[in-house]
Amino acid sequence: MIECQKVYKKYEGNEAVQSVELEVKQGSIYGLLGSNGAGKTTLLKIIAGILKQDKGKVSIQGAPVFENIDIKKKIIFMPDTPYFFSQYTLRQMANFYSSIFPNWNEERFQKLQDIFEIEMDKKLHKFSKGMKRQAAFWLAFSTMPDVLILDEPFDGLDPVMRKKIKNIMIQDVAEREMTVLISSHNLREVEDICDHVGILHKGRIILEKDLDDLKSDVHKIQIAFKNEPQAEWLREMKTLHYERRGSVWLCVVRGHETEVKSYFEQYEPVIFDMLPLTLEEIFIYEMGEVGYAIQNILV
Amino acid sequence: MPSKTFWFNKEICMQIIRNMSWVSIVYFLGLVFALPLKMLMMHTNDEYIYYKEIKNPFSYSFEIQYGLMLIIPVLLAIFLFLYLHLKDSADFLHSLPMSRKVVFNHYVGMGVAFLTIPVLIISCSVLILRSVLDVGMFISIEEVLIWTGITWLFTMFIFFCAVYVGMVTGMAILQGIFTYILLLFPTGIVVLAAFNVKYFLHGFSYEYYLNSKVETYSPILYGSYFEHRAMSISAALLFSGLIILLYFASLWLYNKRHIEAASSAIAFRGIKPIFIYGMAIGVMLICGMYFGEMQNSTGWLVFGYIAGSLLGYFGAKMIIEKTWRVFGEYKRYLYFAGLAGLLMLLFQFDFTGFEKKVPAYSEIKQVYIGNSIYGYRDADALGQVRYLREKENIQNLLTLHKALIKEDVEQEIGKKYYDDIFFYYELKNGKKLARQYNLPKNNSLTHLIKPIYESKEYKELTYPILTLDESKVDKITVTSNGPVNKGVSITDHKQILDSIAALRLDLLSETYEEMIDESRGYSGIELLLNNDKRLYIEWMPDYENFESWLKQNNLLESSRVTANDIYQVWIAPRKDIDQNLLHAYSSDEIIKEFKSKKSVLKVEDKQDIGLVLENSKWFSDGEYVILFVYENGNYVEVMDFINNKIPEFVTEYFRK
Repeated sequence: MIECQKVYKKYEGNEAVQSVELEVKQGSIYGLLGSNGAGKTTLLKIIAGILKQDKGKVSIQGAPVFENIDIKKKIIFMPDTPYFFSQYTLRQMANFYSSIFPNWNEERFQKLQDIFEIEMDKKLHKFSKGMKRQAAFWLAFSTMPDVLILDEPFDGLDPVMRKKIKNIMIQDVAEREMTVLISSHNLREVEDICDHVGILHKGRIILEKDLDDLKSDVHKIQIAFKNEPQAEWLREMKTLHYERRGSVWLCVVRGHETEVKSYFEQYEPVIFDMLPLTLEEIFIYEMGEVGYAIQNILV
Repeated sequence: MPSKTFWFNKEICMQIIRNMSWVSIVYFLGLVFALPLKMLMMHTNDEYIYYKEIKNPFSYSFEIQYGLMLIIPVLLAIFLFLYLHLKDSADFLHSLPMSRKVVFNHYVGMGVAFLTIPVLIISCSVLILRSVLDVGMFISIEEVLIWTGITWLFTMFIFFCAVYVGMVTGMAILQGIFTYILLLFPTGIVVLAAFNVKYFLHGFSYEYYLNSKVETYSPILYGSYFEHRAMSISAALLFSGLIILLYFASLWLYNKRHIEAASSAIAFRGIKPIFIYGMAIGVMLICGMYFGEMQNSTGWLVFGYIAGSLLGYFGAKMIIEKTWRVFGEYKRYLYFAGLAGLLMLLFQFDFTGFEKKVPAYSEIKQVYIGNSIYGYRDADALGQVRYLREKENIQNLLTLHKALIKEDVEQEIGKKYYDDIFFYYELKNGKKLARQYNLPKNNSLTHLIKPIYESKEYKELTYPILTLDESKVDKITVTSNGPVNKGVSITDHKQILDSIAALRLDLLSETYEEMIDESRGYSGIELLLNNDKRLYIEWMPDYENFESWLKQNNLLESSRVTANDIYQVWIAPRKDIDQNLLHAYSSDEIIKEFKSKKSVLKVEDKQDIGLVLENSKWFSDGEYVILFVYENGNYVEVMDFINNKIPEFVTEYFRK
């Protein structure tokens, strides 16, 4: 669906995006993570066809995006600060969108009024940050996009509204296979809706994962023995991390649940607990040193 | 049919109208104020005397119209393309499913409409008012239509210039500044080049190159003449062509433009060096011209060049990089300075052979000589240019020209008052050669100039009255200089002929020394010709034939200041008088200062006063200061003796 091949872009003298390879499948929600200045916004703007990459290819549904009107009709890009024409009301913006986006769904626009608590005939520039954000989502959902590109979309939204918006998003993904690309500097913000995440660090994608795989494959284990095994007992296991607290070992390992279980049980532990890992912990353990460098994304 | 709707999007137009139409409204109101309202105001005031100044619709408050033509299109272009210069809006508009061409055409199209509609409405209302107010005899329908066309075409041109500049830059304020620089550039660069070449090429006549056409090169200056001179057909075609060119160039740039260029000074990397070195050259030449003209010294000139190039180069870098810290990259500046210095050196050593070039006698068809190109141009405008053609005169002139090249009298600049001397050769092969030199007074070249100036041909070239058809003179008016209300008119045909004959005799017998001395003219003589043209000549004290003719006709006393108008004269050595006081406004103070000095000479004898009067010139720096106290009222005049023309009685008095 969305495909980036060796995308390179110099932005105000910096190599903002360097040889980025990225693929987002139709009907999936992809979280693009990265700290400030990692190049997320630049990459999203390239994918949305606003900026033109210096090198490489960007395509959506197999066609290049830049100046491609037919593709852009199906894309909505929501910037980190929503933009509306000055002095415009939501109704006027909606009229504008409906004239530009052929898939505009007036019925849905009217329906969404129940969810968003915004007056349609008030000027948008008088709204608070969160209200503007809601308005932007309202408009975006009403255009029935095939691809939704969101740059830090949940800033300024309260938890209830976040939940509502995420629900609509998931519903659209499920019902009509909408594809979503979300950037964020905070993993927690998006971990509940993303099925894929990629981490952009200094203009490069350093990690790309399917979250379901990730979650089912990494385990945190607390274990204690009556008879301490030999020093290298963990060598056979793919261990991402281990430490000892008194007599209790704490290990983070990768592998299929049953295999892991049987491996540890051969040592006849006195205590054996398999604990769920937060996504954040998985990343930190998975990525080792780089993980520390980008820890602030995950907190 | 979705694709059709994307070529014209009503909502985009609505957005532009909502946010930008105020510019159009301001334009409209401004035009209402300048034209229909002004027409009504004049009508209700019955100011019929002013109607004769109304030549066409531009005549109504032209200053306002001109200001609107220059400001409104630029303002409109800035506001229309503000979205492109602000990151948020640029991102937003280019995330929409509209091609850049379509976006551009919507904005430009609306801009054109905003400028066109007010002009059309005003044009119609002027046409209506014209017949209602009955001013049809001053403004024809055709003139209104021409006004509409010129106003529209000119504002379109300015608008498209501003649009084009808007594509190149990323900042609204720079769009405005660059647009006006662009519009002034054609004239500016010629002026700067001419002024600066002057410092390097001895004999270069910058005035010749700064001919009157130069100002029409700049659209801004060209527009300032619309009241008096309609846009020519060729200019209209040129403007139309440029508009089309600017439109396509802007569209092309818009398609090439990176959206992230919003808020950077120059949107295209390739243009940055042009901007930097263009600024460096421009500011260098401006500073060179400023210090060159103000100080007249090579040291200051070089200072001007260095300071200007530094200012321009690093100023441009500061604008582009938006920081003060740009001085680290000085290497390229040094290359630039080196190259500029080399070029100046080449000019200094006259590598084109410009300075030494003097045509051979055999090549010359005729030569104009004067103080400047302006005299030539004035005569040319009347179709009355006269030249030196006689062999002797041309040969004398060539000798003088060669001497001027060799002597480099210019070194004396700043030490003495000087005049310019201007040669304009027309060669037999049709080519022309213009040279201009400074000519200090009392210089060593007098012996070369004297025979030329005293030749009949030169006098005929200089004084149109000598070659004038005297039968065409309707009236001669002599108006006295000085604080007296005196003057005579001569209308009798015979008297006119006689007085002209007397003047001609005086002019032809005038010596070089008399021609250049700085004595004060008695009166101004104005000849009114039967074609309503006027000819002026100053009545100098050495015009004895004219004076005696006036005396014979009893006109002398009433045509100039005479001893009878002067109550008394005070003469004092310069060193005794407080120089500052001489510029005082109060005549009492000046008189008091003279009276308080012991050494002062008081003259009351009318004959002596007459002598002093004849030999005085405007106050400068001679040995004595003369104070004329007039009979009528409280007027005084501070004067000086013409060099070596101090009357005997004065020298005798002070010898004691």
